[in-house]
Amino acid sequence: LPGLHVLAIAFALEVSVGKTNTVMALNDSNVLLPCVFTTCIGFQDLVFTWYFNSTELIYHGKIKNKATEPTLVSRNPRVEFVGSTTKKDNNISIVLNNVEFSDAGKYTCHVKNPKEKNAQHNATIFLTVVHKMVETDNTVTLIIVGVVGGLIGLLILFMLIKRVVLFIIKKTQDGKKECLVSSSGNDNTENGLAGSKAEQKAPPKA
Amino acid sequence: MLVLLAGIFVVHIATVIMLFVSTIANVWMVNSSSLGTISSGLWLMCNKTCSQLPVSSRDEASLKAVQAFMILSIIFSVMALILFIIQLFTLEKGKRFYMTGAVMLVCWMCILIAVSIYTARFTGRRLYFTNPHHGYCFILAWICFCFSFIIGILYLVLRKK
Repeated sequence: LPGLHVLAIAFALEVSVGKTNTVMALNDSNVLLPCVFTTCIGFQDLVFTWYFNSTELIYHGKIKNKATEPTLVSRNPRVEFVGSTTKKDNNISIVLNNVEFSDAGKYTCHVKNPKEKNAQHNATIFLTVVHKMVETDNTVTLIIVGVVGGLIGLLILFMLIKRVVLFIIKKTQDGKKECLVSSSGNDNTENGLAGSKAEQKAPPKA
Repeated sequence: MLVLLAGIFVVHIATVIMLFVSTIANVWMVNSSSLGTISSGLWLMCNKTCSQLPVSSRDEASLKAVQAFMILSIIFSVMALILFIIQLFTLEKGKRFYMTGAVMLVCWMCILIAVSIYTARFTGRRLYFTNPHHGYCFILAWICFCFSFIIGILYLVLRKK
């Protein structure tokens, strides 16, 4: 079936640089440019290359098969290979040492697999070099959380005070009703506390 | 009374929508010159494409306060809407919508703070603007300010039938 055949070629070899394709690096530091590739049917004599701004070749490597690590063909002296293809995922990341501002740009990780009829795929990372790292500012979040938390706290405080005040009022009103019950003496009203206090006062009078 | 409640509900929804539009769209101040119209809002400054809003270091805290209080006003107005629907079904007859009214008045306070700070700090003469005028988001925010006050007071006054 020719359709399925084309589909197999289209999605067999895939190169990925992770969740985001932008990397920010501090001036004069070493930055990791990540790249992993996945194959459907394995690979043999795979060739991978890293390009800077689509024209300058900065790393060229070859991997015989899954059991061996990659061998170097050519590289820019400032680039180091830090990946590993013998583990679970085929990692072909590189580290660029001592980045300068002129190193900012587009880095392409390109992979060619002869076993899958020379299928090719690539992925790009955009590198920016900064003077100093800016900490993310969360003043807005703090203000919002502060106000909402404060209001919830005030609400709870208000409810508590309402409960306490009502409780105190109830207690003082019970005290007044106690006096009423004892002074009238012979009353069988069911108002007020139908509790122990009323009953205790009744027997001595009777 | 039922018609009045329905009317207030509609105005409340309109207020929530206007608050969303006012906070999200970046058209608080507009500068129309021969080069084109530049509009700036709470988050971005837009010409043909939108870019970061340039803010001087002494206005940074004010801008963050305006952003925070506009978001808070959205939160409280939506909360008041939900509370109103809940209280519609759980409140006894003859009682007033105290909680909804209180939350709506808190929302009114937040809009007041946000729009006052913006009007005081950001509507004077600005760096990139030659002849600025207010955009529709600014007008919408002030309209929401009036509406939320009226709705809050009405919730506190109305009784459930």
